[in-house]
Amino acid sequence: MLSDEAEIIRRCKQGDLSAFNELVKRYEKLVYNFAYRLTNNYDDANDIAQEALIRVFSAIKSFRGDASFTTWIYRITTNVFLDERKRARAHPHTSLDEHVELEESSIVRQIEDPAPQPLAQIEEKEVGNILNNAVSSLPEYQRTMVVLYHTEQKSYEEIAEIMNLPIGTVKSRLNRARLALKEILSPQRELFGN
Amino acid sequence: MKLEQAQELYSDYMEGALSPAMRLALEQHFERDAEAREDYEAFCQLIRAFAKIEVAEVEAPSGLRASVLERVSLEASVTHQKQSIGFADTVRGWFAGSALRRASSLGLAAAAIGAVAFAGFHGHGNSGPASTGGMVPAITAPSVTSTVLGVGMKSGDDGNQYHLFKVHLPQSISEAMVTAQVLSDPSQITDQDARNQQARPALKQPFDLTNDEELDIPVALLQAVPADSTITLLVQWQPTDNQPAGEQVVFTPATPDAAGAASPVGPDSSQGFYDALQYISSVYHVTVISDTSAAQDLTVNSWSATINPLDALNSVATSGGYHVRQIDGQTYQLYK
Repeated sequence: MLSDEAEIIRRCKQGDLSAFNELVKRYEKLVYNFAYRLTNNYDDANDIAQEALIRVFSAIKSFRGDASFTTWIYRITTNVFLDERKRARAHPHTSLDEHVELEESSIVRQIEDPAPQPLAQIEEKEVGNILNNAVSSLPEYQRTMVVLYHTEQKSYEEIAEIMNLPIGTVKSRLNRARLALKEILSPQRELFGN
Repeated sequence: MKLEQAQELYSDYMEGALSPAMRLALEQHFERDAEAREDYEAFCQLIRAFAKIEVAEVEAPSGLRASVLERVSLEASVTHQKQSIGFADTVRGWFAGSALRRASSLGLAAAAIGAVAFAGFHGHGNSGPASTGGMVPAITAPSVTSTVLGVGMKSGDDGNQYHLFKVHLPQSISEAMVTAQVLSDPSQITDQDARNQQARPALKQPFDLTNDEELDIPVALLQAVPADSTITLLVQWQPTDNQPAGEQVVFTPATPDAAGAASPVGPDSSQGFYDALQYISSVYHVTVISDTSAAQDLTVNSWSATINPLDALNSVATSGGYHVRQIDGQTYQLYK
């Protein structure tokens, strides 16, 4: 077991596949979870995580260590997600797993868990689902901001590094994303309580 | 203050990041306009909802890592395959006399790319691979009855050096499963644990080789290496018909067209048998092929540091009861 991450990265830069295997082992969950929160879809998350990790291997020689490695991986995953959405817009197709577009909002096909659950849990889960779906309906850039800040718990500085934007721009775009979410969710405001 | 202007300030206000003047202006706006206050409250509700929601972690799919590694290997393989096209034809004549059918392993050896460990003993002030500017004629022309290994070399258009290890079975064996590993240290020849931990596979999986086939294993160098570096490849074969298994090792210069040491000198103290072979390969810039029957603790107490690599090898060989023969101008074999 390789313990030192810098050593693993150094070996990856030399094309060492066993070191890359170790690196993927360490980061696959993080990348997959982030991709899932961006896409709200397991299959899409798998595709994006796979592409992002391959891009990590291809680009690792250019990793200079200016940012933390985690930040660098977030940046790559974000770029893969944004590129993929751009490509999907250029070549639209339909899939059973995709969002079902409604007039005013969008929902995602879901399979209900039949097990009985306490009311509070149901409400929290429902609120969570509604929030997630609302986030999914945001434009990609706003969605990425919201996921990075509210789900991945990244600071403004980290988001600025990940998205290669000035901090002021990050703040103003996140504020706009929140305002957009507020509008989307205004019909269900009573669910969010105080 | 208009609603849109006020909304631009919501996040900063919530986080206490507004200047006192702006904060006062916004608060006065809220006091005057209940609807504006309500709008801000809805905004805060949303942010609080995010904080309340527990974010569930999901496990990565079980096949994700395997898929990534497979694609990475495949892409490296495709790159390598492209760079190797054409080279196979230039070495076809090596085994022409035995009418061998070629079984190229291109694509299988991708795992070895970048996995080469370089073992230069001494620096000679000559660093980086020398460019050959194209194909290099075959370095070795091994006899099929005495060695299973041959080594070729090419310099790709990209400036990288490519070594091609050519493997065939001994005449007495009709079919065997062949494995090959690039070693980072000669001790891995006799120390299986060290080999398992540190050697790099040169084939993704054992290769089923028959006696009328030849297996080519390309190994790429991905970085500039000192002129006296060597590549060490261990090839093992397990016959399918219960005959004894066998293995052979080859030490070959990473940059064979670079000049060797002007005045080779012997080791200062006793060296392991295979360490000495690697050293000689390194300083004389010759390819040394050997079987692997020497004991793990066999050391070489003295050897001749002459200008002639055959003399040097002979002085080492006697320590292990080996014989030495010269296969061609640049290749030597130790055998019992």
